[in-house]
Amino acid sequence: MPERPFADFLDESFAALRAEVPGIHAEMCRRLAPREVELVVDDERIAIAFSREGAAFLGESRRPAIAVRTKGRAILDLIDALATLREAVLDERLELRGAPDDLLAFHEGLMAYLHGGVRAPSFPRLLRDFRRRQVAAPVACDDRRPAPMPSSGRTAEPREDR
Amino acid sequence: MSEHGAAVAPALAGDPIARAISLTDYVRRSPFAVGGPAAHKEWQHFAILAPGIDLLVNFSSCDDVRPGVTAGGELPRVVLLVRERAWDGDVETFASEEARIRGGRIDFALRHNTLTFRDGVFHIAVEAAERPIALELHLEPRTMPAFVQNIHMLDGPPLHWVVVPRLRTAGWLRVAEREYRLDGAPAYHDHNWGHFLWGHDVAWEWGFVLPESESIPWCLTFVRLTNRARTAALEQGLFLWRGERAVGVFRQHDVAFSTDAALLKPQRVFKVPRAMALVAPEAACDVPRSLEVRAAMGRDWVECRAEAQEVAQVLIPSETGLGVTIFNEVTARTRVRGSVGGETFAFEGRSILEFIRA
Repeated sequence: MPERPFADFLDESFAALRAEVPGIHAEMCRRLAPREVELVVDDERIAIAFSREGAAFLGESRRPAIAVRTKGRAILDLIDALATLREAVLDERLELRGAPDDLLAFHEGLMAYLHGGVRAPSFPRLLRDFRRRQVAAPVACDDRRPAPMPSSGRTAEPREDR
Repeated sequence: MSEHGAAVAPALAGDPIARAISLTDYVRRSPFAVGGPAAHKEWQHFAILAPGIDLLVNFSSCDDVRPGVTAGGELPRVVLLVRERAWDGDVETFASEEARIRGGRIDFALRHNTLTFRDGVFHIAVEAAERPIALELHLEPRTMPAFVQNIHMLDGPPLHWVVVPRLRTAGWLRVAEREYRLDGAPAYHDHNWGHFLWGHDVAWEWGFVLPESESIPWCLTFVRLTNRARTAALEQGLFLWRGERAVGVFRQHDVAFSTDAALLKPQRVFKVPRAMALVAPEAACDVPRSLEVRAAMGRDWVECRAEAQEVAQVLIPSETGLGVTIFNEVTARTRVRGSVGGETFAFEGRSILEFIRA
């Protein structure tokens, strides 16, 4: 089974939000529902369907309203305040595709996720683990810039976040 | 493991300043774990102003009121801010099992980071885990403390404040490969405690002025607590020392604050903890370019005007909603003049101003 470090991190972080700051987890889902988000981080492709009830990881993308593409090291740069979200978008370290209303909803949902992250007791450990995996990963020449935006995959059955 | 205790450390009979600090500045500790009210916050704050360097060190412990955590837990922290070539620093939070904080005295051990008051001197040793910053400081108080009790808060019980505005530094600071001797640098210390939540209806403006020359006997501190909208002052005061003694205490209607309508406009603001910049990325900051405080009572009067220079932010998640409480730490140069007890004075000094915006 291939390694999916970002999917694992995201899955664990959603579980931590739901257990430790359930109100914020619900708010994140409410802001993102009823949308599917496709994330491509390094070589991983992740699809998540948001509803008011929760976030469901999909085996493959169906019809994402928002597509996000970035690198793990670019995410670390954001966490370490080496770049703002705005700067990451403008210099294409973070690529976003979607209709304006969907992108606005994504931003609102992301803000809820981040507000949950800075409050959930488990997040420092999750971030340390994520950072360890990223630091251990080989560095390519242009490692902070993402690969070309992939096309959406075919329909797959959803998997509820744990 | 944090410890609770009621005993006050033995006062030092021969040193009135050390005795006064021992009797007023000791750590109160939270009563939450033993059935008392939650939301206790307490911090011991130090600012050191060496040539070309501003250094802030803050040891704190706050009740952990996040949902899902064990009642009675605390969040012990060290906040470190250094401005030399640029700002650097961090906010480090420790697990309960890494922390020992003794009530009734000043004695913190947060992993290898320590703060104690011993033999009339504050001793601080910090080595940041994630940044190349380390320091060892020995701060000798040069003034008596002021103890300001029962500062009114809108959403809960009152806040308390002990301030020792002038200390003399011995020690060193290392940032990356650069090591600085800080011997002789003037320093400031205060201590706050109370029960409240970040996100409550409160904001404050606070600062101190320390002359760079030891031969100038004057120093002062001022504070204004307001509601969040800053339309109503809950408490304001200016406290003036000459040598060891507080010689001017101006409170409430004796004091007037005014702030420049123009704001500092930095291109970028240094923020800690860094990850919090994701939820508060703005470079725009609600910090006036200058602040004036005028105090008068009878024939005594003091005026000071602080010109803000640089700002860094300490960001704390709101405990009442999805907001952020912003501590703007601002370096400034301040001109002071006045007349107290028939003696006129004027001096310039360095300041750290703090603007809390919730």
